Amino acid sequence: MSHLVGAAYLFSLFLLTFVVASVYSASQEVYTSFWQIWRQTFRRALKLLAVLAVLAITVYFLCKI
Amino acid sequence: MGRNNKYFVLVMSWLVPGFGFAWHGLWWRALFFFVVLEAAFLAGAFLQGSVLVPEFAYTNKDFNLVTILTFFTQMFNGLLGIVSVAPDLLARAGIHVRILPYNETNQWFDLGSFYLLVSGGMNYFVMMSTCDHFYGRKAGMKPEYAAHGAQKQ
Repeated sequence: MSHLVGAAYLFSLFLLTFVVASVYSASQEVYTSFWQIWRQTFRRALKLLAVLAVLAITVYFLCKI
Repeated sequence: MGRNNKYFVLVMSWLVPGFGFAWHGLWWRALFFFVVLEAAFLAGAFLQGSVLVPEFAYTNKDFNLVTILTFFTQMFNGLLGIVSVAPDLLARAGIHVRILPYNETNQWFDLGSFYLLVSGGMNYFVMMSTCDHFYGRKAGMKPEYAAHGAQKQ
C-alpha cells in the first residue's frame, strides 16, 4: 500500500506541474494561439520539474548529514 | 450590469474560475480554467482533502502561520472553497452536514489538501490575469498585443 502512496505522490507531481504550467501560461499569454501556449506550457513544466529535481537531490543529501 | 464592472467580475472570478475570461468573450480559455481548476479541487476532495479553518489566535498552542497561509490560498478557489469549509463552520454552530467529507487521519489527506492548495493558488493567478488584461496595465492592448506576441515567438 505504501508503494501506491509513493506512486500517487509521484504521479501528482507530474500532473500538478503540468496544471500549474498550463494555467500560468494560459493566463499570462491571453491572446496567443493554442500551440504557442502549449509550447510555453511544455517549457515551463520542464523548467519546474528540473528545479524540483534539484531540490529533491539537495534534500536527499541533506538527510544524509 | 456594465461590461467594465471590475469588482463584480473579480468577485465572480473568485467564485467561479475563468468567469472573467468568459465575461470578456474568451470562452474556450474560460472553460479550460474552469475544468482544470475545479477538477484539481474535486480530485483533492476525492482524496479526502479539505479546507480546514486554522487557529487564528496566536496565543493558542495550535497557532501555525503556514496553516493560515494554506487556508487563504485554498480559499482562492471561491465557491468550492466555501463548500469545503462550510461543514467545519456549521459544525461549530451545532449543524452537522456531510458535504465533501474529509478525514484528517487518512493517508491521502495531505495529498488531497495539496490539490486544493494548487487549485486555489492557480485561481489567484487567473484572477490577477483577469485584472491585468482587462482592467489593468494590459487593458486595451488586445489586437496589437496579440500581433506582437505572435511575432516575438
